Amino acid sequence: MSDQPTLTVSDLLARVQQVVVAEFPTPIWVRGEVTGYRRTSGGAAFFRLADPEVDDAALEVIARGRVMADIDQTLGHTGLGGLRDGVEIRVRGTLGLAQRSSIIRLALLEIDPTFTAGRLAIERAEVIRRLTADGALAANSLLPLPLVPLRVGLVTSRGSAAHGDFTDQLRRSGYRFAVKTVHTTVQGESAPEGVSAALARFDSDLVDMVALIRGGGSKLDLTVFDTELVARAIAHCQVPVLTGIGHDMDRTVADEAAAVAEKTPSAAGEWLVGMVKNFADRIDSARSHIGREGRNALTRHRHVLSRTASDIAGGAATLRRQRDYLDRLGIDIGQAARRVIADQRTIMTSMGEWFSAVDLDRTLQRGFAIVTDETGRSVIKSVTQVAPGDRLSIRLADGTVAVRVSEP
Amino acid sequence: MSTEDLSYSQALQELRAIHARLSADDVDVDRLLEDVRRASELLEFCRGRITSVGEQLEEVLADFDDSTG
Repeated sequence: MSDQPTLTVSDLLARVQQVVVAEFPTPIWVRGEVTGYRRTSGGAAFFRLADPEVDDAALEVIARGRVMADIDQTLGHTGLGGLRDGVEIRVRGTLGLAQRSSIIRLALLEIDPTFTAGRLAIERAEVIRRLTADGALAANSLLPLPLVPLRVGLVTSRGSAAHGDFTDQLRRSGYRFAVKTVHTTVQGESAPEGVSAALARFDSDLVDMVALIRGGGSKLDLTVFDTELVARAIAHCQVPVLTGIGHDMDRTVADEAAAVAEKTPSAAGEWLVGMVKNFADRIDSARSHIGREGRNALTRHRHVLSRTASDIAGGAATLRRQRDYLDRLGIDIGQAARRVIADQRTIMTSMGEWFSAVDLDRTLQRGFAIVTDETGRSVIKSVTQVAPGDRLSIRLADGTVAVRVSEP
Repeated sequence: MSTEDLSYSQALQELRAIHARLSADDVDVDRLLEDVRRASELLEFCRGRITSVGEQLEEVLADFDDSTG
């Protein structure tokens, strides 16, 4: 057994190194998900590249400071931000053996930024598709917006620039906003859970709206807002959610799910101030309208009253007219009564005259006679009333004569 | 009917009726004196009402002018 060949550790490691180099003589492309990422003070980075589909398959990666500077720059240009855990990347590097730890590892040379951007876009599209399918994406937008959103629930990283920008807008407005802040970390692996738990703490009894605020950052910084967990927390929120995430970037999934999406924390603050100001302006305008209408109505009524008063005061004139009318009526009645008496008197006089004109005795004395039948009852006025042989009576002034008709 | 139970408008109506009767062509002379006496009574009643209402009206209107300015 002792005569069998025995390698020293360094010989063995050298042989392994030769095998690895023989198999992978040139740099290779490999893709995976970053885990255990850390940077040294000198700028070098160490992490593992894990296979997202297979457990316990991970490759050690090392990147020198100079390489990392290049990678930082490349990712920065494309808006993806720095490397971190959970990011899927495609990188090129040289495979080799770390002599001291006897670990095969990849020495990084470059990164393919379009791969990471594409993965993000695909994941985002998939999340949007699922949220749309069950209505979660539109749920928060269906809540009625508050008229006066003065009670604001704020989900943000306390003390951040974003936090300051947002609250400054509210403070400067002069309106009495009541802001209840729930602190949460807004980046890193635990951020989705943190943000969704913070959102769940607000209900309509507590606040009118919830503002979800995060300062500017790269696409990778903002991936928390593209997660399904955060979008569903927004969908379940009982009050409308207002987002102010990053600046001038593409809209995040959280923006899509929120009732109102503004581009920056300041803009979100301005939006709230604008809502309150709009309401206050309407109140002011209604108040002055009511005041104006009230005064006009009062003036109109005063005029009517004063006209009515003078009309009623005209009642005195009515009384005067009535008195005059009575006077005339009295005079008319008196005159009418006197006229009646005078008329009757005239009639009586003429009748007296008439009667005296027809006085019988005076007529007979003047030589007239009255012829009657022999009984003296029926006056004979025509020759047709008599026939020869009829007996008649003739009344004269001093007596009566009986006669007989000899011929008609 | 005495004038005590009359309203002004009833009294005025009666006065107008008497006026109409006396202005007609066929006047009932037997009723003439009675009508004229009644007319005199009614006129006195109506004038009294006017005087009394006029005095009260002035008092009320004095307050009225004060309050409406």
